[in-house]
Formats: sequence, structure tokens, C-alpha cells
Amino acid sequence: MINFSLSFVRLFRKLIQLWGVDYPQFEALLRNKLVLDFRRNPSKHKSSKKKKNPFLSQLITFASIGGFIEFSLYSINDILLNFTILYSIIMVMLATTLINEFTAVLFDERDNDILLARPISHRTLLLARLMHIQFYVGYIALALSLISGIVLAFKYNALIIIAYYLGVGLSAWITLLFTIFFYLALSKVVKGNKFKDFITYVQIFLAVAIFGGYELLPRIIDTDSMKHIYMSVHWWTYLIPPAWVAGFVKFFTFTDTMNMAIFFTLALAVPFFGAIVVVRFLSKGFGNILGQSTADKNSLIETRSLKEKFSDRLNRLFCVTEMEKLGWKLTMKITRRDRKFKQSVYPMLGIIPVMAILMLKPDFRDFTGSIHKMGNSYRYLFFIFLGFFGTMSIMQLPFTDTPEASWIYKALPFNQHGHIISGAVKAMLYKFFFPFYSLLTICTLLIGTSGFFLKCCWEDC
Amino acid sequence: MEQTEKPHITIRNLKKSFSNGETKNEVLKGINLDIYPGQIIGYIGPNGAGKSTTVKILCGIIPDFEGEIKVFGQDLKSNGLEIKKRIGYVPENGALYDLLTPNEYLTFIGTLYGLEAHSLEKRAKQLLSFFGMEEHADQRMDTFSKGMKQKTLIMSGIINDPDILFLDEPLSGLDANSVILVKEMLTQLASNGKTIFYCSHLMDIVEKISDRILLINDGNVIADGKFEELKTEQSATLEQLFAQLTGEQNSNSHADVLFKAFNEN
Repeated sequence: MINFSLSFVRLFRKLIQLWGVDYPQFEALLRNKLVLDFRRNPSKHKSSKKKKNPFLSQLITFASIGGFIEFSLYSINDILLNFTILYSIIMVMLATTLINEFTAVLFDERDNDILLARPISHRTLLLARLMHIQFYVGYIALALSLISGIVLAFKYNALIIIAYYLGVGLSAWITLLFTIFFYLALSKVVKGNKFKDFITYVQIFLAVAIFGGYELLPRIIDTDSMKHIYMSVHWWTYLIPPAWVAGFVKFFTFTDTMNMAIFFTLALAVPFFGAIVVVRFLSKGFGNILGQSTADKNSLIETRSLKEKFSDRLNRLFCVTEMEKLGWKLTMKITRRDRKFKQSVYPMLGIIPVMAILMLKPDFRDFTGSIHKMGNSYRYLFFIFLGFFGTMSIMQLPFTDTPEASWIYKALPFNQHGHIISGAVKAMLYKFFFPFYSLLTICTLLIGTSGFFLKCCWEDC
Repeated sequence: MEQTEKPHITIRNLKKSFSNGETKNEVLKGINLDIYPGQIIGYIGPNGAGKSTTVKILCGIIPDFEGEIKVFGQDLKSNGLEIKKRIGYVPENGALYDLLTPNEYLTFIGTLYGLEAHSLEKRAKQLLSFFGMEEHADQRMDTFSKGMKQKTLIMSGIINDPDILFLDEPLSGLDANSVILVKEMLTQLASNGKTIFYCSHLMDIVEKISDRILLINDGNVIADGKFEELKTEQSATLEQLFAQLTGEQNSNSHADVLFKAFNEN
């Protein structure tokens, strides 16, 4: 598989050299990354004994999502609109996956000591990283479009289907270029460790927004009117990347040729010239990000805040043994500093309000009315249940990047390891369950009593 | 005789600071050095003195610094790629891809230096046999001991036949035989006109093999010269000299205070 992928990339050798990349170095870097990925045991650090390949199950999920999306768009008759929506969804999904899962791969600092001392240009290193990511993004794009392509085959001829798959490849590459462009532009404004924190917050925001979008948007769209929607080409349509690719596909219907020829050219020119801009001109910024992360090793030491003193007092209140207190303190410190922990827990917490809206289905046109209705129906009691979402953060406790450090628990002369864990769990409950639970309980009380007061009013009347 | 040759490395007023939250932490405070071909430089200093930072700047791993560095007469900032082709680097902390085999790793690094497949294979073989690693050449390194990984790192540092070799704590984890091998290798390389720049905490080895010792403390070079020139009446060994110059000469009394504090509790 590695050799196949590499020989596929080799087809573009001339093109890649045109971007100012040393090809033998590039291929060595790419081969090395892929070999490492294949040898790495995916579930090595996880405590679960699942032998399943997580990437494969992810691909299957993506394939079925892609199928469902095209099913729901099937009734749209306008080919340009159909493909624009389809490619938009593909691009958004790819961009989300890229930002959430592959940012770490792009800015991997672990091999700085190995690679940065070698005579590799920033361009070569950047393109090797991009291609490494593209390898996975390509598979995801293919999975997304596999079933949807079959669905489309009922509607359009073979030429369109082939163009559709070419378009999927193009949109994957365009998405990758836009994402890296966003990062490099961002790194000019935000520097060093702040850059990484910023990305973490972007990731958290995206996770919540995507979840909310997928749940809420289909409920808003009116499916009956979809048959008659028609997408006309305005000047700003030329600014929408998915429209380029959709136009690229429609070009092969040989209707509206003038407009479609422009889209066709855009869809091909942007990936090519975009790569030149990113690889040739912006790669220096990429090298600086990598170099900076080597330099910025000692991050800030936080001073003891008032909040921390308060938490110390609670610590004494809730924790019985010294070991429990220790577990609490360690957990509080790590949850505040560990970026990976934040990345996995905070989106989950962000989902709580979205879930709340979903479960209660308030009518936004008559908000106060629906709140009152809720008060009568006891559905608001769901809120209390939602508070328990915060406890899911406890699931994240066993995961760490430095499992080696646990030797200390084995070496220490005590055998009450459970106390450390109970302290940790208590800290998690205090930090992630208690605030949400109390907030939601207050909400419940408010809604519940609003119904109660309303009833009183009615009875008075 | 040194002055007649052109220096391999010239460093002028090198400064480097890391931002530590709001405060700036100045690690290097203006270093000036000329390093000539064929020298073995022992670069020593207390923990956190800036040794690894200097080496990382010279290798191009840390790209932003203040001051001027010329390697082979070329400016490091503008000609980094050309310079990197002629230097070798052995990082500390065993930084390598341990899922590869030594053979694969050496091939990978060699390709990055633009070596031809044929000569690369030959060189890798010679290096592996020099370090007695032939039988492990095709085993994955994740099961290797620290010393075996370290040997692979040293091999990858010299696979491009560099003119300057930077080594950051290269002997950590090596057994006594391998230490002898590496010492011989370094002397041999230096006699062929290569420059060796060597960071270590092992004072007795630095004392024996270095032509020139650089002692750095608190971001400044505080001693520079042959060991014979540097040693004084009070400090007959490099270890004593080190302690004297970096302000830890009364370490006995320090230890007393520490244990007193322990006993009080």
C-alpha cells in the first residue's frame, strides 16, 4: 500500500519539483512517515483491549454519512446546487477532521531534533507533512463519496460520476490548502504557545458548531421546496470554493458552458497555484512555527490564584486521606495545563447546551410560550439528566501522553492506590459536574416554577 | 598555528532568550568564539547553562537568535541549507524513530543528505560493523537498550561524512567498550581535519580527549583554553576546576546544610 501510494505521488514528480521541493528528500520523508504509521500499534496507549482498527471504522462511518447526505439531496433537480451542497459538506467534514485530528501531525515537534538539523528546506518538509496528511484525508474523502457516488449514478451519466470523483480529489486538496493557509496566516498574528492554545479553542468551537449544525440544520430545512430550488450564478458565486468544484462537474454536461468554464478553470488553477503560494512562499512561516516550539519549552508558571485557594479548602473538606488530597491536587493541576485533555473534554461540555435545545425542541418563534409549555409538561426535568454529561469527563482520566511516569505509583511504599483515584474522581466531579449540574438545576427550577406561576395566574382568571 | 587557518565556526555576540510568560529568560548573553578545523571542543557547564541551546542554534534547530554566526565562512541564517549538508548532529535524549531498524534509519537520514543509494549502503554497513551492530541491523529499535540506540544516533550523525560534528552528551548509556570506540573515532576524525564540538557532563572524558575546553556558566563563556592552561594549584582535575569556576567549591558544606534540614523534620 505504501509503495502504491508513493508511486502514485511519483506521477506528480515534475509538478512537485516545480513547487521548489527536493524530490528524493520528500519521498524519503513521506515513506518514513507512512512506514512509522503502519508499524505503530494503534491501541498501544489505550487501556481498552479493542483490536479493531479505529481508522477503518471511521471510514465506514464517513461512507454511510456520505450516502445519507446524497439521499437527502436527491430531490434537488439543479445539478449545480446539488453538487455545491454536496461538496460543501465534504469540504466542511474534511476541514473539521483536518483541524481536529491532523493539526498535531502537521506541527509535530517530536522529530525536530531528528529533522531540523538535516539539510531539508522548509518547503520540502511542509509538502511532505501535507502529503502525509493528504494520504489520510484522501481516504476519508473517498469514503465520504463512495456511496454518494452510487446514489448519484441513478441520476447522472458515467461522465458526471467520473468528474464527481475527480472533484472529490480536488476538494480534498483545496481544503488542505485553505486549512494550512489559515494556520500560517494565524501564526503571523498569534505567536508561540498562544498559537497552540488558539488552535485548541478553534477545535473546541468547531466540534460544538459541527455537532449543533448537523443536529439543527436538517430540522430547519424545508424538504418539500427542495425540488424547485435553482442556483443562479452571481459574481460572489465565484468566491465559493465548493461552487468551483460543482461547476467543474457541471462543465461535463456541456450546458451553460461560459460560466462553467470559469468554474472549471478555477477548480484546477486554485489547487495548483495555491500549492505554489503555500509551499514556495509561506513555508518559511511553517519552519518558524516548528522552531518556535523547540524554543518555547518552558511555558508560564502560574501563580496561585484566589480560585485555587478556594479549591484547596474544598479539597480539605471533601477528601479524607492525604492520598485523596494528593489525587485531587494532581488532577486539578493537570486538567488545567494539559492541552490534549482540554481538547477531548471541553467539546463534550460544549455539546451540553446543544443537547438541551435538541431535547426540549423549543419553538423559537414563540420562545416565552414554549418555555411555559415546558413548565407544564415536566419535560424540563431532562435538564437534570443533562447535568450528568459532565461526569463523562471522568472517562478521560486514564489517558495520558506520559504513561511512563506512573512508575512512581508502583515504586512508592503504599498500597492504597484507590485513594488517589477517588481523589481524582472527586476533583473531576467538582470541576466538571458540579457547576453544570447546579446551573441546570437552577434552570429547571426556573422553568418549573414559571409553569407553576402560570397555572396560578390561569386559575385566578 | 591555529591562527593561520580560517576558522570553521565564528560566533559573534550570540544572544538567545526564551520568553517565560511575561518575563524574559536570557539563556545566552553574548557568546564570542572562533573554532578551528581539527579541534575537539569540550563544551561544559552546569545544568541549564545554555549548552544544548548553543548546539541547537549552531545546527539550525533553533532558527531565531541575536548575533552573527558564520560556519565555513557562510552566514548561518542565510545559508543554513548549504551549511547543514556539511555538519553532523548527535542529539541528546535519544531522539530517533525507534520503530525503524538501524539500517532503515541510516538509509532515511542518508537520503536526506542526498547520498546515492549505493554509497549509502556501503557506508551504513561499515558503520554498523565498526560499532558491532551488524546482527541488530535489521531489528526494530523499540526493543533496543539505550546504548544501542545511542550507537545508532552516533552513526546517523556521521553518515554524511561531516566536516563539523556536534555531539550532545554522546556517551550516555554506552558501555565501556563503546566509550573507547567513540573516543578513538573522535580523535581519528579530528586528526583528519574535522571539527568536533562536544557537550558533556563527564569531566574525566572531556579532560582526556578535548584539545580545548569551553566552560559556559549563566550564558557566558567563563573559561576557554587547553586543560593544561586552565588548571591551577587548587584544581588539578577538570572536575575541581569546574566546581571552582561555577561557584560550587564548598559543596561539602552545602551537603551538610541539606542533611541537617532533613534531620530536623
